[in-house]
This record gives sequence, C-alpha cells and structure tokens, in this order.
Amino acid sequence: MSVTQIILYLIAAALTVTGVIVRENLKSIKILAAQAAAIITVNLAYYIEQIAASLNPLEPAAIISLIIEASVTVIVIPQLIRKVKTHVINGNMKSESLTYTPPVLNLKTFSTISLGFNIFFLLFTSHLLYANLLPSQLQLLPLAILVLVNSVLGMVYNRDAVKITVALNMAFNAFTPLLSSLPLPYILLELTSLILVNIILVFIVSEMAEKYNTINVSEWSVNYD
Amino acid sequence: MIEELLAACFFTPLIAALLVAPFEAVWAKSSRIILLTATLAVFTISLLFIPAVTVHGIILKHSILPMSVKPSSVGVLLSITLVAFLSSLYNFKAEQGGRLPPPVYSGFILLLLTVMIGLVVFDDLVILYILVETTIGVTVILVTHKKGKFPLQAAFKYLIITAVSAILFLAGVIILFNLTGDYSLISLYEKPWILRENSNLTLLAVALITAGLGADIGIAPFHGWLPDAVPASPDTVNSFTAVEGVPLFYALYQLVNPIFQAYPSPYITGLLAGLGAVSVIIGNLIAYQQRDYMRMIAYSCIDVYGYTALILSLFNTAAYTAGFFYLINASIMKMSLFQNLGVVEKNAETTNMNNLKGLAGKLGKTSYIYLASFLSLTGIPPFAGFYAKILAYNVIYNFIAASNIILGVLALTALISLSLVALAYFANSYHKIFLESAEKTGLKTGEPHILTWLPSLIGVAVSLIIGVQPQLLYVLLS
Repeated sequence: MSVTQIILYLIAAALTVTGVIVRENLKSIKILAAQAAAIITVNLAYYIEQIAASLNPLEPAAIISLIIEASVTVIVIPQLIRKVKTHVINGNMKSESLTYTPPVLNLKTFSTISLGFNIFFLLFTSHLLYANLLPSQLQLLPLAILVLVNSVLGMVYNRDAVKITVALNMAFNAFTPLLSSLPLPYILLELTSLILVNIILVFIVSEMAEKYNTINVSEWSVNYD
Repeated sequence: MIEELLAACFFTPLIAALLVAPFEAVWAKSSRIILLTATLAVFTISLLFIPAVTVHGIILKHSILPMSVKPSSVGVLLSITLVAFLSSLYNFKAEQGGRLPPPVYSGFILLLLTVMIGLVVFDDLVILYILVETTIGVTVILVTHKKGKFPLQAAFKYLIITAVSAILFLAGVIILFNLTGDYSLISLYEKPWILRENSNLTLLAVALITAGLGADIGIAPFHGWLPDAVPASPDTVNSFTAVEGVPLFYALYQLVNPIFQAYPSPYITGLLAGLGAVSVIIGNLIAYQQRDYMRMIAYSCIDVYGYTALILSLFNTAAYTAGFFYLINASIMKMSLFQNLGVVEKNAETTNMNNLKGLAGKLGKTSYIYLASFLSLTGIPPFAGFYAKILAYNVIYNFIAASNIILGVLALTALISLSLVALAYFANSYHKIFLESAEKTGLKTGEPHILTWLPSLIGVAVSLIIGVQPQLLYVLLS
C-alpha cells in the first residue's frame, strides 16, 4: 500500500462526511460521484505504481474491470439517483419546505461524533499499519471500513431518503479497491446487483414522492394501535 | 445424468421466471399455472436427491459449475421446495393482485426460489455473496407488492438494513478470499493452517459474515426490518418467505463451520450463541405484547431464528441436525400460520386481534389448522416441533453440562420458560381470533376455497408424520 492510496482513501472518507451533511440533495449526489472517483483512483494509483516499478504489466482484464467499475460507480448510479431527484421528486414536490428534510441530529453534534470517531479510527489504523499486523493484500481494509462507518453514520444522521440512498452507495464504494483481485465475471455480477439494489431504492423513493408527497423517512412510520 | 439434476434444480425456476412474461402475453393468468408447475417440478427434482444422494451417501457434484448436494443438505433442499410448492398452491387462489403485474410478481417468486436453492447448492464464496444480495433485492420487491404507503416504508427500511449487512458480508468474504487465495468453500477446509495463523482476521471475518447474514435472517439486534416487513407483505409473499431463513442459515453454517473446525475459538460459539439467546428473549417477550397478529408472528420468527443460532453455535453434527430439524419444522409451521392468518385478514379486513372474536364459527378448518400449527411450533407432541425441541434441549444441555451441570439445568429451565411464553401468546391469539362470542366478526364470507386451507393442512400433516416418525427428516439431515 502506497502513501498515494492512503491519501486518496482519506479524501474519499472526507468526501463521504461532506456528502451526507450538505443541505442540497443534488450536491450530495455530485459528491457521491467524486467519492467514487477518488476510490477508483486508489486502484488506478496502484496500477500506475506497478507499471512505473516495472513489476507487473497491466492485464487487459484489470483495465476492463477498472473502466466498468468507474462507469457504474461514478456515472451510472449518481445519474440514476439524479434523474429520480430532478424528474420525479422535484416534479411532485415543488416547494423548498417539502424538499428539504432536516436530519436527526444537529450538525454540531454530528460533527463532534464524526470527528471523534475518525480520529480514534485513524489512530487505530496507524497502529495496525505501523505494527504490520495485516497481510499486504488486506492493508486497505481499515481504510475501507473507515469510509463504510462514515457512510453508515450518514445513513443514521439523515431522514432524507435521497441522502440515505447516497450514503448507502458511498458505503458500497468503500470496498471497490478490495474487489479488484476478483475475476471479471464476478465483478460484473457484483456491479449488476449493485445497480439492481439502486433501481429498487429509487423505485421506492419515487413511489413515496409521487403518491405520498414525502421523502422524509420519519413520516413513513406506521402506528399499529 | 444424475449430476444434471443439480443444474435442473437450480435452473428450472430461473427458466420458468423468464418464461412467465411471454406466456402471460399470450395467455392471461398463465403465470399462476407456470408458478405452480415450476415449483412442483423443482420439488420432484429435490425428491430425486433422496435415492441419488441420501441412500448412497455420496456428495453429488456438478462437473462444470461449483455446485454440490451433500446427504446432509437434502433435507434443507426438500424443505425449501416443499414450502415453495405449498405456497404456490395457496397462491393460486389467495393472490389478489397488487402493485406488481402478475407476470412480474410470479417471476420474482420464481427468482426467489432460484436464489434460495442457489444458497444451498453453490460452493463459491463470491457467488454466495451475489445470491445473498439477490435474495434481499427480490424479497424487498415482493414486500412492495401490497398496495399502500406502509409496504414502501417497510421495504425501504428492509433494503437499507440488509444492504448494509450485505456490505459487511462482502467484507468478510473479501478477508477469507485474501487469506485463502481461493473462492471455493472447500478451500476453507483444505487450508486450516492459514485461518489459524491469521486468527484475528479470521475472527473479524466470522463477525462480519455473522452480522451480515444475521441481519438478512433477522437475528437480534439486526432484526429491525422484520417486524415491519412481515405485516407489510402480502400473505402469499409471507408464505413463500417463511422458509427464507433455512437457506440463509445454511449459507451461514457452510461459511462459519469450516472456520470453527480450523480454529475452534470460544469467541465464535459465544458470538452466535449470544445473538441467539438475545433473539430468543427479545422475540418471545415482545411477541407477547403484540396486538397485531402479523407483528406477533414476526417476533415469533426472531425467536425461531434465535433458537436455531443458539443450537448451531455448538458446531457439531448433532447440533447441525438438531438446528435444521427445528428450523425446517418451524418454517413449515410458519408457512401454515401465514396462510391461516392471510385467510383471516382477507375475511375480517383487520390484523388487530382486539377487533376479532369467534371466527372459528365461520373459519372452522382454518382455526383447527392454526391450532395444530402453533402447537407444533411451540413443541407440543405429537408434532415434529416436540421432537425438534427435545433434540435442541439435549444438544444444548449436553454442551453446557459438560462444564457445569447447574448451569446446564438453569439454561434448560430458561429455554423451557421462554417456550411457555411462546405457547401463551399463541394460545392467547387463538383465543382472541377464533374463540369467544362471535359478536364482532363481520366476516365477508364463510369457509374459504379449499386451496387456501389445503396447503397449510398438508404442512401440518407433514409435521405430524415427522413427529411420529422423526427419522424421516433426521436421515435427510445426517
């Protein structure tokens, strides 16, 4: 694992936190694309370093995997969510008061929790890497978990269904570099299932917006009594 | 020829799922017939594994695909296909349409059957992950079939929780793959020293896989989606998904058992047993408080999954047999209960038990089947549930008593007490729904169509036969 890969993963973690706290959904979707690009670049950096050191020639399957992963996570999924947001949700919910959904916690509380967690986890990761406790092929794992946990915090923090969808995709993106060792058919299957999960999510969100005029998940609960 | 049975078992429902839409375009209402025919075909194929695998005691492997059927998995496969067949029989009359068009609905039911079979027959780590994710996706779509706001809310919650769990499962699979350098489950048995050398990472992988699959199954504390998804789903979908825990538990056991055999850490047993115990307590105590009978059954499912996790956490052959014996009987009984309560809901148009009284007068057969189903589920003889509980108590007591007899007796007492709680809330629900005076009934019709109670009656009959002759199921899990 190189310093470039660590820096790129940390950028991705920072983008994850930013993506779940921004007020506007469209900005959140743009940050999702940027986060996915940062994580894809982790793999790209690895391949470039390998070529520069003349260790391994880049295999065609690796290039194809990288292009497909980048296409799906940076372009297809953010575009899918953006289309639903701009055409279905905005079309049905005109006023700003309806489109802005306040989060569960205030920003100050969330920032404190998130900062505290990130500092603790980075210290833990530094210890793992410094003491060389992980096999070389799994050294990116703690950083992937860092991005994952930040995404999960984002899901808990938000009531807005679009932001929760964005945060879920950020969590999926976290493990993309660790999947690079898989054969191409497996990567294709994994990405297909990711697209399917997103199609189901946007179907549910758009149905709620169209028929019930809300994307606030706290308004979806049911009283059994 | 025999190995082609394996491929046929997996691909028959998949091909049928693809054929539903074109056939429906030519002949309206053909989707139910295709669903029924395909599930019957798959059930017949899985019956053929008894002479091919169980009788000869061989592991049937496919020469090209990473698939196999072991003598111990024949019972698991049979239970899935039996519940699918009985549910499609019920579906024939009970399905009344919803958000999904008929061919889409039937196609997704068949796809669900395909992935459930896949979870049992595939031996590949990454394919298992894909199948788990597909199982979630398909089930979420089926939850949205019922019209209204609530199913959408339940489906969203279900998808978010289980999608995060799928990521955890993926992380566990990545760790195992990077440690062993192989995607095959067999490699976990072949390279035990690697798992022992990287014990911390191995434990992390087990924790991630358990949390990931545990959330998909509905084990506490990852069960948040289940009490919403069950009441939100149509009765027909609940009937099919009653057996979903069986393949998911099988996948969990297939992944964790080789790791435990290589590195028998008490943390692995403690993790699964702890989650199981918490699920049994939460499931029973919250189910007792419910007024909505669908939510009561949902919490009862958490109890069933907790029991199974508790038994399987011991990781020996007796525990495997006891765990799956219990889970299979409970799944068939849950199917029966969902079908009975589906009939009640359709006729009385409420799921609140306080608004129901004296339905036994008009739904006589349904009430008797409901009574037999919950008696079997709670472990009353002569049903299979009784033998399942005896097996379970025996395995758990022997394990704990080996180190401390008093602790063993205490654990057994606690489990029996919690079983009595389950018996109490089921008896209470029976009393509220079917007995008392019939002043509040307001039923739309009388005794429903034969196809709405016959499948649950067959389920109860199967439980009764296994209860009298337990070796019939025992041999299929040994």
